[in-house]
Order: sequence, then C-alpha cells, then structure tokens
Amino acid sequence: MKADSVRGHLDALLLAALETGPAHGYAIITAVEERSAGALELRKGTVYPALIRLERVGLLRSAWEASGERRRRRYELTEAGRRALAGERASWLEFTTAIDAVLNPRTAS
Amino acid sequence: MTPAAPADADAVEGYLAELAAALHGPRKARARLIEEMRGDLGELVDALVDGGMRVERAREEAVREFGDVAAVAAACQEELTVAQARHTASAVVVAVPVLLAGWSALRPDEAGQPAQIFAFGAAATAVCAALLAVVVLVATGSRALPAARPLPRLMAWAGTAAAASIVFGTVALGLTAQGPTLALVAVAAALGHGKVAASARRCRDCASLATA
Repeated sequence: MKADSVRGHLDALLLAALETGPAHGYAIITAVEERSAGALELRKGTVYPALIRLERVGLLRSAWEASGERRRRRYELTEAGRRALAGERASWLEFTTAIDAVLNPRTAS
Repeated sequence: MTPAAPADADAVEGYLAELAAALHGPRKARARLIEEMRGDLGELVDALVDGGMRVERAREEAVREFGDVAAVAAACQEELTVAQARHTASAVVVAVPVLLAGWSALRPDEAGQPAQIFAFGAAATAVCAALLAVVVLVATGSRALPAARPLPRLMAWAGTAAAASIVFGTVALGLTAQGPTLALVAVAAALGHGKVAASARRCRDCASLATA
C-alpha cells in the first residue's frame, strides 16, 4: 500500500508503534513497515512533522538523546496518547466490522 | 537559514540543505526538524553500509527513502506554519497585557481626552487580537479541536493589528502624558511592537505559502 493510502491512518500507526516503548523517528517508521510485513509504505521524511504534530497536541513527548556523535530525538507516548490509541483502535474495529458486514454479508451474520 | 550545500557535499547534507532552504517558520522549529532528520539519515546510512553498500551509494539510497524534497518540505511546512502561528499568538498574549497595564498607569493631562479616545480604540483592537491569540493557542494545542486552516492567516493579521495598535496607543497617550512611567511604557511598546510585528510578518509569509 502506497504512502497516500496510509495518510488518514498515520496518527494511529505512529501511536501504535510507540506502544511498546520509546523510539527514535526512524525506528518508529521501520516498526510500522515491519509490523505490516512491508505492506504499508511510509514516505519517511513526512513522518517527522507528523510526530511533532502529535507532540504538539500532547499525545507524545520527546527529548534529544546522544547517539555517538549524533543527536537523535526519542519519542514516547503520554497518558493522553495511550487513551487516544485506545480510541483509534475502537474506531477502527467499529469501521472494519461495518465494512465487513457489507462486503461479506454471509460471514458477518 | 542553512546555506545551500556546496557541489561536493555528500547526498545527505545536500538533501538537508535543500530542505532547510525550502522551509519557513520559527528558527528553532526548523533547526529541530533538520537536526532530527540528519541523525536518523545518518543511522540509516550506517545500517546500509553495514549491509554491504558503498557509503556514497548508501547516502543516495537513504535520501531516496526519505522522499523528494518538495513532498517532505510541504509536509514540514504545514506543521511549521502552525508553529509560527503559535509563536505569533504567544508574542501577542505576552505583549498586549503588558502594554495595557502600562497605558493604564499613564496619566494624560486634561487636554488629553481626544488622545485617550484614540488610545481606547487601539486598546480594543489589541484586546481582540489577544483573544484570538488565546483561541489559536488552545485550538492548535489540542487534538479534540480541529486546527482550522484559516487560523494562521487570521493570527498573522491579528498580530499585525496588535503591533500597529501598540504603536498608535502609546504615541497617542505619550503626546499628553509625562514622567518616568512614560519612558518605561515607550520602551515596553518598542520591544513589544518589534517582537509582535516580526513574528506576524513571518506568520503572513507562512500562511501565504500554505495557500500558494
């Protein structure tokens, strides 16, 4: 699936990738791609402003971390982020259940 | 602004320089984005080199994976425009109450009634700008409220109006008031106007990019 298909779900994917613990931007991107077995393809450079947006609205917090001679930004979920992720999961389940009921009426009943 | 990379710079630094040149918004916010990408691109290059790729090829591949500059700059600019609107809003929220307190401490003489009426208009404009600034800060700081697209442009013009009001109100009252308080208020007005006007100008630039 190309990057454009992922756009509407990017927030949920990024939050989910951070559920297991703090990570750098690039590790978050690879976590999303690996969990989807490569089916989801992110335009990597556009993920950084998305992470900053999630931080701005209080769902993530971040701090610089030294990594050899480099500085890297490490993100983690806030409590509000965990609640938002739970909400995203519930909405997704409701949505896919409804779509599945229409597309596959026999299996849904 | 980061200068363009020299012709012999590596692909990563060339990419970052091109991206930095395309971005507008608060200096710290731009620097953070570029620095963060530099760190992660470096890690990606290392991983590719560890996998057996030549370093020059690894740099080109890392840049390719990050996406073309135009698309990445557009995504970054969206966030930087909001950051600039918040910067302008913060400047207005700080400057306006300070100036209003300063104006209220001035004691114009009896001949100063017309000036007071003029200053009242300036104060009302500044208060409206400050109220909008609070709305911008709240709306862009919460996911529950949709960050309306017109907000940065509105904030830019509100900031410009506030900067002008600070000057007009202070000059109007300054024509008829005297004493050391006036000097203090004049200094505060100069500082407040400088901060708010500069931020509002950058906010207008960002907002115009968003609609270009």
